[in-house]
Formats: sequence, C-alpha cells, structure tokens
Amino acid sequence: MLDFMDYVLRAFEKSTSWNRDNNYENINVTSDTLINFPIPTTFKFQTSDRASNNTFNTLEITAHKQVSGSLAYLYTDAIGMDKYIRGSQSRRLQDATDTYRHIQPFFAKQSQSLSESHEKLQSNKTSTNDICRSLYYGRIYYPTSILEAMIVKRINLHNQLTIKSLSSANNKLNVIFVNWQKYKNENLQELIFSSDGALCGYRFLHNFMSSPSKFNNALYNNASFSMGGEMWLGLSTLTPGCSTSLRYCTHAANTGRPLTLTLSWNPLFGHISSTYSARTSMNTTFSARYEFNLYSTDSNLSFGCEFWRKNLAESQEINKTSSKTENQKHHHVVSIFDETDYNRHDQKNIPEEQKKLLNDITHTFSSSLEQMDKEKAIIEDVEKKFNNEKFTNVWKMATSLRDRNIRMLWEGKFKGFLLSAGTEVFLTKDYLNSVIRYINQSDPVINESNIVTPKTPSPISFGLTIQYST
Amino acid sequence: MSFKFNEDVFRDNSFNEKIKEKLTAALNKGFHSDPNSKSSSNLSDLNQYDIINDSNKHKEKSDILKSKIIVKSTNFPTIPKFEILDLDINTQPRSLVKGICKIIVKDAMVQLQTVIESNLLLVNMKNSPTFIKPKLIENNSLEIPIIMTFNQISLEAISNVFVKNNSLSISFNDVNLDFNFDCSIKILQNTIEKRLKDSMHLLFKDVLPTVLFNMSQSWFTNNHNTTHNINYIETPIPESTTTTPTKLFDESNLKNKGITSLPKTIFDEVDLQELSPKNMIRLSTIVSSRHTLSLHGTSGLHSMASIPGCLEKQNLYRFISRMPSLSNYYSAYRIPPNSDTTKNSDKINCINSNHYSHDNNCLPERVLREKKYDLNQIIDIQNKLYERSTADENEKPKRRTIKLNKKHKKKQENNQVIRQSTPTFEKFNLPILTDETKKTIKNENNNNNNIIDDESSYSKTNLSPHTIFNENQEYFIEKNHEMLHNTTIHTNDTLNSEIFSNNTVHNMDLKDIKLLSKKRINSLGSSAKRMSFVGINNLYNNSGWKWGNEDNTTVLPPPPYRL
Repeated sequence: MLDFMDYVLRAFEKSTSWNRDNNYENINVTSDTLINFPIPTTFKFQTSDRASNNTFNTLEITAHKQVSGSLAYLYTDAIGMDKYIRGSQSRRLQDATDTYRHIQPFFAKQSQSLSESHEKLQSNKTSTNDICRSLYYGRIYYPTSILEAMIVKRINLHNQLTIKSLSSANNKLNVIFVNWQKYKNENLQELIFSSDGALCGYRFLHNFMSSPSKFNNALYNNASFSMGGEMWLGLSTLTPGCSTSLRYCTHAANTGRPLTLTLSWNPLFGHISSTYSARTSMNTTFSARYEFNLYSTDSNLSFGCEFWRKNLAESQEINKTSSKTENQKHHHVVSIFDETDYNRHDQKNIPEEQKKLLNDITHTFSSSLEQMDKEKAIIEDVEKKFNNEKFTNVWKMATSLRDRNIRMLWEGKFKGFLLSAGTEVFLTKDYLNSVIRYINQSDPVINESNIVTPKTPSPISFGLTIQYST
Repeated sequence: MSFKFNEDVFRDNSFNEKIKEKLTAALNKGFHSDPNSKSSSNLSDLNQYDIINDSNKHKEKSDILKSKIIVKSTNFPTIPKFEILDLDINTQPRSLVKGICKIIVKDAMVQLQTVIESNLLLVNMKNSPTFIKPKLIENNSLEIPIIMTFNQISLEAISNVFVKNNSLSISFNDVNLDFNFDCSIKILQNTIEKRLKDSMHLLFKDVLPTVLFNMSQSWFTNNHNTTHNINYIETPIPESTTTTPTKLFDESNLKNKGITSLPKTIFDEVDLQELSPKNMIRLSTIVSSRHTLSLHGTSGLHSMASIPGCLEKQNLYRFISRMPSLSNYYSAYRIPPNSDTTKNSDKINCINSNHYSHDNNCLPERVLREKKYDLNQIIDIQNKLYERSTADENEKPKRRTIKLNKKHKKKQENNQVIRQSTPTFEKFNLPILTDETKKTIKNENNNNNNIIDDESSYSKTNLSPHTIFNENQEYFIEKNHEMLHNTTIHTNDTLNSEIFSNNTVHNMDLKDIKLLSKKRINSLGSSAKRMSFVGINNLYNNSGWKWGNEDNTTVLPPPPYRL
C-alpha cells in the first residue's frame, strides 16, 4: 500500500508531467513490485486529510510492542492536484498500490507531454510556471523524534532537484540527501550526494527509438527500449558500486498485453539478473526473475503474481461503461494519419497531381493503416480497460527458490478504508536461521544449535495497515 | 614464592589443539569456552592474546563477517622460551615484585578462515534509514571465503612485570614480532598485513597491558572481596579477622604467580573487553559515592568501604579513627565504665567523631599508671602519625619550636625541675625530653651500625612524632600533674638509675631498636608519603602496623565500632 505522502508525491509528478519511469532507479520497478513487494510488519493506522488543495497532512499510529507514530505535513503549489488526489473512498485500487508499470514509449510520452506543454505555452505564456512547482514535506516521528524533510523543486522543464534530510536527536544521525535530475533529449541524468558516508552517485538512462519504427509485421509499434547505468562511490569509506541495465517493453502482438524484460548486471560483483514481467490477462500479472552471480555461481529464481478481483455486481456495470468508452475510442482511430495531414490547411497549395498521388497512397495503404489502428486500439484498450476497472481487492504472492519463502499480501478497499495485510512464511529451517542471523546482525556468529527451529512453517512477519483519507 | 615454567605443556601436540580450540572460542565471542578446559601457562595465554587481538580488528567490522571465524590449524613446533632476567622482590611500595622477563616464541603458525562480505557499499548502507537511502540496482551481496595464514610467527619480547597489591601490570619494552602473512585474496594481502603490523605497536604498548591489568585487577579484587565478605559474615568483629583475608590474599597472590593452575582460569574466564563490566561498575560506585553529600557512612558498620582498597569520603572519619594513635591503641584503658567516650560512640556521627581523630592522641592515664605501655609501639604510632601529617617531606619538624609554649619554656630551661616534678617521663624512657636522653639514643645508634643513617637523619628531620607525644605529655602533665606526681614518686630512684646508666639502656633497648630500625627502613625509606587503606595494608606485615586493637582480641574496637 502506498503511503499517502508518496501518493501525493506521484500526483505532484503527474501534474508537473515528470515521468518517473525515466529514472534509472525505477528501471526494474515492475518486477520489484511483483516479487519484493513490501509486507507490513506492524499494525499501522494512517489517516490523511487534504486540508486544502495544496496542503496535506497525515497522522500515523503504529503499534508494535509499543505505540509510536508520526505526523506529516506536505505543501505543494502544483496546479490541479485535486484532479489526481482522491480520498480513500473514491481512490482506485490501481493508484493505491504499486503494480505493473506500463511504460509509455518515449516518443509517445514525449510527443504527448511536449504537445501538452506546447499547448499550454501557446494558450498561456506563464505556463512554465505551471510546471516549475515545488513540494515541501516534513514528518516527525515520536517518540523517537526523528525528523524527515523533503523539498522537491522543479527548476525548469528539464531539471528537478530533490533535497531530503533526516535528523534524529537520539542517534546523532543527521543526513542530507541531494538529487539533481536532468531530463533532456531522451536522456535522464542524475547526480546524487548523500552525506551518509559521503556517498556520491551518478545515474543515467537513455531511451532508444525516439520515433515510431516498424518491426517485422507489427505495423503499430509501441515498444520502448532503454539502457541505463549507475556509478557510486562512498567517499568516506572508498566503497564503489556500479551497475548497468537494459529494459525492453513491448506488447503481445495479438492480445496487446504489455510485457517487460529487463537485464541488469553489476560488473563489480558479477551479479546478473534478468526479469520477465507480463500482464497475462486483465486481472493477473506475472513476473519471474532469475539471478546469477558470475563469481560465486549463486543463483536464485523468484516468481511473483498478482490477482486483481472485483465485485461481480459492480463489474457488470463497468462492462457497460467500458463498452461505451470503446465506442468512443473509434472516433480517434487513424490518429497517425491525422498527424501526417497536419498541414491540411495548405491543401490549396498542393498541385493536383500530387493531391491525386496522395489519395492513391492513402487508398493503397488504407488496409494496413486500418490494421495499425486496430493494433493500436487493442493495445490502448488493454491499458485503459485496466485503468478503468473498479477492483476491490488484490492478492499478491511471491516465492523464491533459494530463500524458500512464500510472501503473501492482500490489499483491498473496505467501506472507504484501504486495507493491507501480509505475511511471510519460510519453508526451511536453513533460511529461518539465515533470517534470524540477518535480524541479529549485531552478532554475526550464532550457534545454530541455539536457534529453535520450528518444524512447521511459521510466519516470520505479519502486519496490517489501515489507511483512511478524505 | 617460586616460579615454575611448565614446559611439559608444550611438549606434546595437545597444546596445538588446545590453542586452536581456544582461539576459535575467543574469536567467536558468542561461544563461551568451557571454564574447566585448561590452557598451558601464562606464556601461552599471552601468545593467545596476541593473536586474538590481531583478529579482534576484524571483529570490529562485524557486518562484513558472514560466518564465524574458524581456526583451521595452529602449529607451535617449538617450546616457547621464558627467561627471567631480573627479579626484584623487595621493591616496595610500588609493587610487591618487579621482574623483567624475556619471552621467545618461534616458528608458530596460525591459519584462520572466514567468510566476508565483499560488497562494502551494501554493508555501509544497510543501517541507514530508508528515507534517505538511495535505491541501487543489483547491489547484492557477494560473500567470499577468505583464508589467512600467519607463518613463521616469531615473537621476542622483553617485558617488565609488576605485581602490585591488587593487580598485575605488564609493560612490553622491546617487542620484536615478525610473521609471514598469506591471504587467499591477494588484493587484500598487502593492506591487511600493513594494518596488522601497524596495530601491533598499539597492541603491545597499550591494549595488551591494559587488558592484562584490568583482568588481574578484577580477579584480584573479586577474590579479595569474597574472602572479605565471608569473613565478615562469619565473625562479628572485623578487626580481629582482618588477618585471615590477608593470609588468603597472600596465598592467592602466590597462586597467581604460576604455582598452581589458578591463573590459567583467570585468562579463560575474563572476557577480553578492555574495560570489564565489573570494573566499570566498581568505578561507577566510586563516582557515585563521591557524589553523595552524606556525612554518614554508606557501607555497613564493619567495613571501611564498599570497595576494597578505596576510601570513601563519608567514611573518612572511620579511617581516621582507625589510624594508629595512642588513644586508639590503648583505648581499652581509656574506658572506665562511665566515661564520656561511650556516650560519644553511641552517636555515630562524623561531627562527633572528628573528636577522635585529632584531639585524642594522648596516652590514657591508666596506661601510665599501670605501666602497660610499650615504648616501641608508641614510637611507631607517632612515626606513622608524623608521616601522615607532614605534607612536605622537606619541611623540618617543628619540634623544637612547638615543643613548649611560653609558659613551658621555663620548665624546659629547668630540666631538673621537670624531671623531678614529672618522674613518669623517665619511666617511659622518652628519649627526647632531655638532651641527655637524646645523647643516649645517639650512642645506641652508633653501636648499631645498621641504623646510623636512618636514625641520625631521623633525629634531624623526623622527630615530630615525639613532639606530638611530647606536647600531649605536656598537656597531660598539666592536667594530671598532681596525680602522677603522687603515684610515681616511689619509683623515682629506680627510673633514674635506668636512664642514667647507659648499660641498662643498651640491654633493654638494643633488640627493640633493631626491630624499630627495620620498620623505619620499610616505612620511612620510601620517601613517598603513605596513605594507607585497610585493604591494602593487609598485605603488609601486621606487626609493624597496629591498627587500633586488631591484634588484641580482649581489647574493644575503637570508638565508632563499639557496640
């Protein structure tokens, strides 16, 4: 379940048309959310309130051995936040939780956002101010009295600056984190500095295929291909880190269902992982990940899946509405064709012969163009259908062969509340030990005989989160 | 006391197995070694500590370690040589025993194996909060097994060993440690070796002596404590039993020097923390005892301090009251059934008890009357008092100036008058009263060559105890003049004869003064001013240190302890 403040942050990014999929750190976010989804470990109640269009606050109470909590306050001057932010009653479940990320192809997104911004520029000269907005966020935890603060500032169309800081009186931990992102010409470059260990980082992501191209028999191509890398250096400890990744997103030609493939490699430590994620049907998502280490030849295979469910009574109604939308969609078929005729008003200048030729061409390619429209319609249909579905709950499950665990998470809406409950079960004692070792990391050496290993699989963590927002 | 270096332990191969076992246990602190398991000797323990401390360095970065440290093999092919170059038993007061020894270990080999985490960025970032933790792609852990082999370890060290009252301190003067280092990860070999050799200096200079000192101290005091407690529980009067813990303590002290196997267990039991929790608690109690403003003693009535060897401010009056003074020593004579002192003792209040500390250094009247005094004891007590009272050694005793007030000057001028009026002085053999008696003492000194220097210097500088005594006598004389006069008249003749005939003085005093001189060498030869506590003084020969009435069971304890 997404934290309300994260939800607001995403809404802010939407309203300022900043595409978070272009961040290198989100390059394999799909498989991560499907396999390594976070499981609540405590009982947590979160109530959020939109005091005005620009201010949001959240109160959170956590009960785990002792009651603690946090109070968060957020202010943003972004325009149109009310369009994106809804209360928990009316919020779509797809927005409330992380799921399969449908990656818009670079050119499509680019043209869309640019056209939008151009429209805005044309319509209103001060529209750059609509994008150059900022967000201020602060949260204090009690009784630990840890203070979190974040400023997100969109400097201009291409640059965004994020400053985070954390201050805790008890641990004497004061960290400042600066992230500067620049997105221009299909590249997103990031510079990161964190005072925690004087960590410096550089990340970049490049989107290939800046224009629609045709592969094989697929006339309409909505694939995107991205490549990225990162380099890190902890200056205080001189610890390096780096990785490079590829991502390819496309759609199944017949059904139009999206799928994502990623390949990541860490050259320093020889770690390779490849993922395959797909939305196999309207209600199910599947992801598999294979990890391999070149040096130690350790390998791991993980699976994750999601099942989206909806109430039957509601779904019938939705089907009717969706069919209506389908009818509407046919109106903007042949959008590309429209785009090619952008200078229709110059028709008078075109000579008769050319005009005739043009008509011939349209005639001869009309079948293929129709085919293209059809494919595009299918692809967009899948996405729109999913987004418009009124799901009531979702089951997420994941397992890993090496870790021998089963992770389960249920998220749903219940009477205006957003609920999230999850558990993690380990099947073997070996991993149980390793987890206990992981928990007791202060003491790395644990006598295995000291650990009581239960014969039956037992949940290691169980938690429930309740969210309510107005 | 004797030392024995048990070489047999090294002869068979079992030693290697033992050290391997112990190393594994010590390196993985989670495991506690079996207290019954024996190690070999002090020396081998020292060796073990070297290595343990080497690898403690790895332990600090415990996040990196992914498994326990396994000692794959150890090999000590030769018997370590242990030479005592110098041994000085009589080096009081700094230490009981001072020794210089040489330790030589050759051709030893230790091989360690563990698994380390190679992705340090992951280790470093693991503990940072998620809010400011950047998400890294493919930042997974890579665990690498590592084998470290220390070949041909040769240690040659000259160390000074001081055995103190309740601790053992060792300083390494000339350490020559060399080894070949071989690491399975060649990239790390140079850095690890460099760091190890850098830290070796610190280890021998600082870490190892501190560890040994703390360990010995905690063990010594712990042992001492228990014996003390037991004794106090068993016997209601602590003064009479202080000798038993002393004996026990001496025994334990001896044991520690290698006669029995006890010291081995010390090294096993005490963990390697530089500051043992026990000591920390002890220190904190010291600190907290300083913090209190209470004027009453916190600890029980029978103990001077809750911490042995440590004097708390609020117990100072007790300490002072136990200081050897004439009134304490002869306190039995001071208590007539209805005397004032019993009343005072009822109120255990330090304000009242100050009274004991300063004003009462005079012989009870009864002692004089019944002739129960012992001159050597009195001299000894007065010496102690003087030692304690003079802050500056070079300060000349004010004996001659203080000796008599203006009133008494006349009396001093007319020695004859005084002698006649106070014949008890002759009876006491007080050497300072007249010039003649002083001469006699000097004559005696000349006869005893041993004491000449001490006595002569003593007579010049350190005579003030006598003055104290003297003053008190004067005070005493003033008060009880008539009574004394009356009581001693009939002995006057015999006393005169004793004093004025040198022969009799010689006969009487020679052996006593010899004893006295020895004690003075012990006590005054140490130029340092002595601040003596009960716990410490148990170690000294009791005959020279009469504390209150500790030896004399028939005599009641000093005032605060009177029940």
